[in-house]
Amino acid sequence: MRMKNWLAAGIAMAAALALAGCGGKGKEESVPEAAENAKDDYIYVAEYESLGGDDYAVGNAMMDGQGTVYFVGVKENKAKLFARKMDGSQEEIPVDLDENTMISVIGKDVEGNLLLGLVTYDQIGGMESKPQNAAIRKISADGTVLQDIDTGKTMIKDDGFYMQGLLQDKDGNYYVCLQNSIYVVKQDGQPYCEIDVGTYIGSMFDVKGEKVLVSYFGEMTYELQEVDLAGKRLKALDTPMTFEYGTYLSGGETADILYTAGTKLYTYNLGDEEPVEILNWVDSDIYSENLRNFQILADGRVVAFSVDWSSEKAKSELAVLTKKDRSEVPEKVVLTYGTTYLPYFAKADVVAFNKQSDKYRIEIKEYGEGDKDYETMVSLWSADMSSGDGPDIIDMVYCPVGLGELVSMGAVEDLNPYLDGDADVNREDYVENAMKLYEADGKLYAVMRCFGIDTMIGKESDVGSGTSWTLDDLMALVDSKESDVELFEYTTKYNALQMMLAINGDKFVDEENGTCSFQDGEFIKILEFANRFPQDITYDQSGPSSMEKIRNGKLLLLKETVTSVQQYQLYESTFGEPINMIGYPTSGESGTMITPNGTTVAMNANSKNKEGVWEFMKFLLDEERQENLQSANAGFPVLKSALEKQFEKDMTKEYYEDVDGTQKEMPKGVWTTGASGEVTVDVYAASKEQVDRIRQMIDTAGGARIDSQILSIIVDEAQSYFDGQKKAEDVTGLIQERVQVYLNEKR
Amino acid sequence: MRKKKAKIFVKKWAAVLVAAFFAILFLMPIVLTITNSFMASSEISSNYGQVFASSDTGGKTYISEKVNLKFIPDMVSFSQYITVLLKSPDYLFKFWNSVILVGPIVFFQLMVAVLASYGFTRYRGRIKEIIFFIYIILMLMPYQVTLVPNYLVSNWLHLLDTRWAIWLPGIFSPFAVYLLTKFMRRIPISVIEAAQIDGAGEWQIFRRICLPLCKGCLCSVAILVFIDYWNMVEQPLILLSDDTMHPLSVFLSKIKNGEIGLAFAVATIYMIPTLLVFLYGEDYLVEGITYQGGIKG
Amino acid sequence: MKRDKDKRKRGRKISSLFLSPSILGVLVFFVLPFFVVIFYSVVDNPISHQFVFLDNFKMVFNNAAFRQAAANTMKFSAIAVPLAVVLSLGLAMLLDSKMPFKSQFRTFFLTPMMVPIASIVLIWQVLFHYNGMVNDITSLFGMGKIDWLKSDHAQIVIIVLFLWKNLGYNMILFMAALSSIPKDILEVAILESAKPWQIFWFIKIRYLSSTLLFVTIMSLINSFKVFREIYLLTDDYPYPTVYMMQHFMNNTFGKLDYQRLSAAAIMMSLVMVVIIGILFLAENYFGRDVEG
Repeated sequence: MRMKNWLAAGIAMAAALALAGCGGKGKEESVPEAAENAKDDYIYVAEYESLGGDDYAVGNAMMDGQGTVYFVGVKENKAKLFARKMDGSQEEIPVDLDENTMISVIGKDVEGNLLLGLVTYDQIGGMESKPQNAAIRKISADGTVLQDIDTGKTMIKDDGFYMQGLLQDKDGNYYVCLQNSIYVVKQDGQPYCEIDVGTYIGSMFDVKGEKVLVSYFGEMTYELQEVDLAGKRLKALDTPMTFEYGTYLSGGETADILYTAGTKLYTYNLGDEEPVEILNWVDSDIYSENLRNFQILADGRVVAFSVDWSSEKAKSELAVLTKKDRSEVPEKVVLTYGTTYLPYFAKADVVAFNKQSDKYRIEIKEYGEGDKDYETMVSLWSADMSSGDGPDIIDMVYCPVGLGELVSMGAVEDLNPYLDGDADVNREDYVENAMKLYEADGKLYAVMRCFGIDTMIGKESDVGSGTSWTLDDLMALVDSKESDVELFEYTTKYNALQMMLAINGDKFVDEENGTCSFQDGEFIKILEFANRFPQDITYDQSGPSSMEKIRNGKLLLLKETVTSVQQYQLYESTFGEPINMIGYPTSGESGTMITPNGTTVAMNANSKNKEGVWEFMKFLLDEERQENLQSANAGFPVLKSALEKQFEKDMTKEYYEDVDGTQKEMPKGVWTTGASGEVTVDVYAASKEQVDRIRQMIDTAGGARIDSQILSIIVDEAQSYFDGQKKAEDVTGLIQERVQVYLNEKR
Repeated sequence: MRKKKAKIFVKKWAAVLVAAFFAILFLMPIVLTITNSFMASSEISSNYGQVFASSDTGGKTYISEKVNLKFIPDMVSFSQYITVLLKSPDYLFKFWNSVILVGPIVFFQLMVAVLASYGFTRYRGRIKEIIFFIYIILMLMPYQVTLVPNYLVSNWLHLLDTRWAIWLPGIFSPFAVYLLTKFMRRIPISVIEAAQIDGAGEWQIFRRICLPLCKGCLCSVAILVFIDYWNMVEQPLILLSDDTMHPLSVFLSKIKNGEIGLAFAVATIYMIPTLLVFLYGEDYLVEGITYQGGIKG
Repeated sequence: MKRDKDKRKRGRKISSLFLSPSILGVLVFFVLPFFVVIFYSVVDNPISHQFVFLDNFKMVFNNAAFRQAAANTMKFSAIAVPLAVVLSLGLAMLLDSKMPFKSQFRTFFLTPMMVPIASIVLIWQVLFHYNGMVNDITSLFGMGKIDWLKSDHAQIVIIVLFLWKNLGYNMILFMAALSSIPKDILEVAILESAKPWQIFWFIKIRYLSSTLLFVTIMSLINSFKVFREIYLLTDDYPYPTVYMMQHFMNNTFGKLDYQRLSAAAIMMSLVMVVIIGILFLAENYFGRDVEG
């Protein structure tokens, strides 16, 4: 009887659960669906305007709830303050500035007055101008000065001083956001305190004038903390939400906080469980990494200010986003861009493409969104592919499967017919070795925008001046040195093993016949060599920098991906003597590899809009896109003419005028190395020899990586040899058998 | 007479010894799981570090030469449980997900299956035998084979990323049908025919005769189905891309190196419902199968 | 007489009605996917859908890895399933004798069913590690260290794992069957001074035949389920003797090679149809007379 009751109770419970489940589910289902429908109904359409026109460089802007944008325009080292209204009218607000004084930042108080952070330098322009004085000025909207606070040098700690934020709370206290600290000044102009955050501050903003919040990268997570004036410190916010990395700003009238994380804009009210998603910037063709400031207006429009540094001259842009019904917007053909992770450069390329194309729109599908493991991503991705819902554009760097698998499943389209059929693009114009990377059986499956060179670098006196070296050469080099000399930084047994095998796969594996030979003496020699290195390494923060070690002869090689001539120059000066990018040890012709370093895409063979995909590829390969890579170190463009132009630029000297009027060469870039960036290297214009070496590298690079599955089997088995549990012979036997299974399966 | 008694005595205890030997072997993993869940993570890693140390760990950890299988913790620590139960609500949340996913499957799979097996039991014919045979073959399909097609079907039916994608295939799984049919076919036909002569309709025979006779075996099948789905990993991973809906079993299958201690604690908590189901249902497990023996005897 | 026939017809129809929900669900969620599998097995790849008929089957059948996997799997099932049947019958007989703590032991033998897979895999890895407990014990008897999972002994490990997981439930099935043997027949046999082996062979086994086949099928089913543990215990590419069908399928799945995966699956199903068919026929042949 007891059992019977229990059974009944059990069934009742199961039923209740089922109902609860269904009920709960019903709710869950209805909400996102409604939201999705709503989202599908409208779209934010952006109108762009270049802020400051062609004359003024704009780095700083602030907007209020009505959409008036206050910005600082700089022309010929003179700063001017402008106000741009939503109707498009623009007027200058007169500000009386001293000689050599710049408006470093614009802020506002609760009443709508403007706050200006002023910094006076000893000189303007050139490389060595030093800040002398900092001041805060409060003016009304028409420019009348309400208060002037001169803080003198109290805020200035070093030459890198700048103000990144300024505001006044409703009690009248001024808050200045510096690089690593918050500086508070009382209403009467008396300094009150400086709160050190200890790390770079992301942003400082107020919540309705009552609270002042600071966002920064904490020890583990991104953090938002409140300024505790009485305690002169930051205190934790009591909210149920954890914040992710993003740009956090005051929500003004609409919400407590307004922020952009990833590609989306959210509002959040303190105490809420979750933020409210407002829009996805990508949908409005805005590259969110460039966003500096944004605001939701009372009428629902969104204003966004962004600065694009990628081209020669920084482009400042104001976008006004208006919510429109989908039906009002001219329909574009939608292409999907599938990837497991969206790198910044792909995001930029997609946004730029969308903006200029009136026929196509690319939408991004991130398979890695949320906390998914690799296998799940593979399954989701492949299920999509085989059901015909696969992405039109396949990101090849962040694709869950390799090119071989894609080709064998027939997933990728051969691009050669498109190349041949298109008069605008000629294959001969592009770097052959980079094109070959995604080629198989005479078919071209993917194109990349730019690339880097994966190589090993050593002194010419150590590695010789040849174009490649063998395993024996490498072992001989190590044997000729003292035992405390490192081969490359932090070399463990595993690192050494991986490096030795990196492009030596074909030495032991015969892909064609599906056989392998790990049991010969050669492989055991590699194992024994790798075993000479330590099991694991503790990173020594206080130890000598790699540069010191190299110069003292304690470190032989650097393992790097070289993406610019400047980087090569950096290594030359790091080593302090002639270097050779010798590459990974190999018995083949070249130990260096070309690796994609920018957006790299393939075309889904099942895509319904192959012309659109080709349009995007053409866009990536286009001269204008090729000549304006994201940054100086973004990689080498695949277009030969753009590459040559880049080389030309790398070799051209630039000058600036010093205080005393002498012409000095301006460094191309300043590199910092060492654990805490203590060593800085200025890189100047390259010599012809340096550029020629790079050119030679690109022309000869051609190593092929070892199959990652084989490598993982080797590393897995080598572990018990390294741990001293098994003899090398036993380990090689196991490797032989397991790799053989793998090779059999592949056939 | 006395000698015989002694012989029986020796025999009896020899049997106990043999059984005890097996029992220890059988109990060891469950005991290990529970006791190890009370170890601090430092103790866990010093015991098992060697097994789970991966080659790319940067930090130095103490790893003993031997792999120690320890039953009794040096120091009883509740730190793992505190982490699981108090520090992060995630685990409890996932536990609840498990309940929501498995509960309806067990209940409705049994409902559907008991009806179907009655159908298979009554008026057996060639067609039904063939269908039944197909059920067995489908039941034996490994998940890799069915996973992608299942995904496609769920996609066509717009079930993806909803719990229905797990529920519906679960509810219609042929497993319970097979077991229940096997049991039901043992009910003597005479019992049913007697009812039929009394003029009872099919529904009444099912409801009044068959169902009460099957109660025991329903319970035992429920236990098996429950265990099967309580441990599912692959289906939610693929069919629910929103990981907030994933059950705890998915977490358990993806333990990372630093989380072994945690895994023992989570596993222990995860075993509790199974344990309860067993403690209450074990008698049914046996009875469910022996019942018709009673009728016969 | 005619009325009786009509009634049977009606009953047949109604009983089919009982089947309908299940059949409908199975059609959508199991048969339909199976047809997708068949479709994949005869096309060149899941994207372009070019019909290639039996090419995939030929390719898979000629693949050395597939053959190895098939051989290993068959070997595993051929050893593990009979062992599971015999040992669990032995345990059931043991517990069927009059002994103390019967129900406690029964519970103990069932506990492996409760342990989550993750725990099982963890513990098995610890037990059979090169420096693990099993090697410690064997070294007490003067045996050398064995790398259990990476040697020819690997099959032993997974057979032990399989037995450990499934003996308990099989035992329960046998215990139930044993207790359902009519007592009077046994008593008569004892009165007629039949020897214990005669009782076992001529009475018990005869009555157990139906259960024997049932347990065999269940063990076969479970031998396919235990592969998940094997897979987690070893690797994508384990030591060749434990390279199972599951590995082959999982790896081809990971490589998006659906055409080969499907072809392998269908071949496997065909083998299964034959095995299960034989078991079915055997059951029908032996089982009928006792079942009544």
